[in-house]
Amino acid sequence: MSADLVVSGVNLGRTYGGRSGAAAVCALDGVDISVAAGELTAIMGPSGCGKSTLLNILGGLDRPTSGELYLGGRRVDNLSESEWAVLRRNQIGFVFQFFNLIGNLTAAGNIELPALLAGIPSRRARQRATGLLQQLGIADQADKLPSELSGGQRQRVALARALVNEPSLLLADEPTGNLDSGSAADVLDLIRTIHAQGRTIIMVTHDPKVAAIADRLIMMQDGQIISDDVPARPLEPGRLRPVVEAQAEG
Amino acid sequence: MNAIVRKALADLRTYRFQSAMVAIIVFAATTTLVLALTLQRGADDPWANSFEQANGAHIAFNADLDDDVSEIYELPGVEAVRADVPTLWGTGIVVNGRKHEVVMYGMVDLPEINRPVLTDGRWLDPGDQRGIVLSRSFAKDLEIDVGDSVGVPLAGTVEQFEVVGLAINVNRGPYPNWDVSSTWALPETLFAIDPDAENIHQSIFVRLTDPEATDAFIGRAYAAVPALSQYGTDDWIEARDSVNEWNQLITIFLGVFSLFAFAAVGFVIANVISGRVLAQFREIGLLKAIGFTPRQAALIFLVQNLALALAAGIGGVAAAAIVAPVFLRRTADVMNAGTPDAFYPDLALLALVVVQALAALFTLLPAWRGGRISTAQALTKGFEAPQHRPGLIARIAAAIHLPLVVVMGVKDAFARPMRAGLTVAALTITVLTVTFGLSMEATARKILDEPAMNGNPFDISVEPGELSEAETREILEANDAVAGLHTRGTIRMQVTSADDGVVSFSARVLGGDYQGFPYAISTGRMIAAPGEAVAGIGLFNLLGLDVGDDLNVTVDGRAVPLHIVGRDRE
Repeated sequence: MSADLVVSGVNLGRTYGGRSGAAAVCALDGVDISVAAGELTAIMGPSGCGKSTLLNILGGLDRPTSGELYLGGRRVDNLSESEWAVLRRNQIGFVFQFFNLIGNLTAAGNIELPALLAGIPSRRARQRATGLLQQLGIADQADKLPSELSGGQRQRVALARALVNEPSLLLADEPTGNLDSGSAADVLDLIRTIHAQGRTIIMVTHDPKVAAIADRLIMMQDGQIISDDVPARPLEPGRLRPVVEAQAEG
Repeated sequence: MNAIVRKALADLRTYRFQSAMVAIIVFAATTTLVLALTLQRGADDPWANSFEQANGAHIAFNADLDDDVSEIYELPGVEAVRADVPTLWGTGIVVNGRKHEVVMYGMVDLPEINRPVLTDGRWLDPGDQRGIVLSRSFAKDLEIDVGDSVGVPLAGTVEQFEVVGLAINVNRGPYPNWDVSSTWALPETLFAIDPDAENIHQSIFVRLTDPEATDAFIGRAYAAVPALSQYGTDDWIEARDSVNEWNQLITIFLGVFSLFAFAAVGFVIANVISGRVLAQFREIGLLKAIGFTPRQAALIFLVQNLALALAAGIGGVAAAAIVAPVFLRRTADVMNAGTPDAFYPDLALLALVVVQALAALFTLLPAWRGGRISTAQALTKGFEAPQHRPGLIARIAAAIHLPLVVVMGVKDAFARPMRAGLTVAALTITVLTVTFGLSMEATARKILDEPAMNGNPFDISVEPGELSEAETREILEANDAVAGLHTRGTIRMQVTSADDGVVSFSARVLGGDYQGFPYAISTGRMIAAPGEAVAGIGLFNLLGLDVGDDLNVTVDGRAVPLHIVGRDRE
């Protein structure tokens, strides 16, 4: 497995249910995927196609029922829950559609928590949080609780939390799915900026405009990858065709 | 650890109501547990506790005042002796115009051996000639308190004495089971009552190095000092058996109460704390997503719940220490035991450890489960009831056409059989504990308040004095307030024992309508026909009797066959 690849999966499968006589549901079916360092990859597809399942498996939030998963050249699909937690803490940042901030910690507290967990002294953790909040343009919101922030502000806090331990991989599940268009554009700009700093990013989206900022677009349907290409750019309408065709084929 | 503490503190601040509920429940559970354990210990062989407090005598011999009993000091097996305690027999004290027979001990200072266990008020003051200490069970029965006055017959008149204290005599059972109660007064008072000292004897209290050798020692003492054998002897085994048999019911009550309380505490803590953790399954997923290991996530809940349980537990122990004397006093009254300490550090520690252990266990179990489920599932679903078919109870509710809302409620309530079972068990045990506690209190009150429950089957007894039995009966029967009466006399009987030779004892003879009186017989039944007898535990032990045995006794030289139909506590 090449060390240039941040993450790669071979023949990944995920089946739910199937016990106690219930019918099994196949969410992922023999997916092969490799993401190189510094890539910004978008995964698209219709609801239930398995894109979020794939992202969860890549981040260790869920386990594949078959296949192999490698992170930085190390096989990780057989890690324990605790080993996965440590791996996420140090190497993977997560951004969710519904933010998943801890409701009883302030914006700064949410960002500092993973840093403290990684053994960074609280003063240094506070410095990192402050720096990220400034970078994301919400320094004045540091002491507010998530319930006191707008959707866009919450997602920025979530981004800051995901980045505080400087992970090699950022996973984002519909990062703009719960935002108004203005906030979504801001968040996309931030993702683009983060990517420009050399971060590897994989994001799941159903929005072509979001996918358009990616270097690479993976289309999924029925638990399988049906295409893996460069996404269409809005300024280059001709590039949109393969995506549309791929969707039409699915 | 920094992250864990920060999150735990944030949770405690955020979920104030939940935290307060957990704290209140753990507080109440700890109080209940400490109370139950304290009561249980207080009731654990109360006679032994009192005996230890009294430095009780294993044997109380009786002799005439001028008998020289000094040889007893030299007998092997003697640990300590206190002789020359003037003791007046056959006197009485007058309460509300009624004379009650008592045995009166003359003492100035509290003796080293067999000292009365003072439960209320103070001991006698040599400067106060009109002070008297009564047996607590006697005072409680007659509703006499410290500071009240009782009549003492002095030189033909009845003088008022102030009750300065109440005490327990460990050599004698509680009044009215033992109907001649103990009192203590200054020696001068005894001689003022009985100037010729006709009825004043000396009590000789002996402690033995080997209490189990009591019977053998009594035999040796009688042989060495014949004066000791003329008035009979009280020994610790007889007193203990009498008291403990009486206390068996209460001890069982307290034991079962403790057991219930223990189970209730376990179930309630299990339910409340595990429910609190289960409600935050989604948060466990979130914590895992940002890098907490399952163990670290569990630790957050553990820190919170243990901190709450510790604070509430310490509060509960303090509350129990404040409340316990009220319950202990009542229990001690019923059991005729010294009021035990309200605070035992080892029990408090045990209760705290148990509560902390339960809190830890029922935090870690659901947290462990939360840690095991996939992070994605915890994040998206939290702790959802499984979507399988409705359980049996829900199906029954639907089959008997209960309203839809009821059927849906039942389906939800029993969606998780284990959890539903825990809830049902917790509620059942809690209700049982409360019911049991209230029943115990009601029973204790009934035992204290009802003469029949006290082993006293009549409301008053009347001594004929100068009147004949027929005249007395005629006067009583003419009184509308008298619902029934029977006569009771005392005769001496002799019986031959294999070990002790001829043994003489007092027997009560009942006449008239005694069957209409609620005599409480602990084993067997009350006598119903001539020739039947009920014997006390002392006689049972002495002769190795069983209910149903025949016993040949001698009364005034005549052989009288008796059939034993019951055993009395006395």
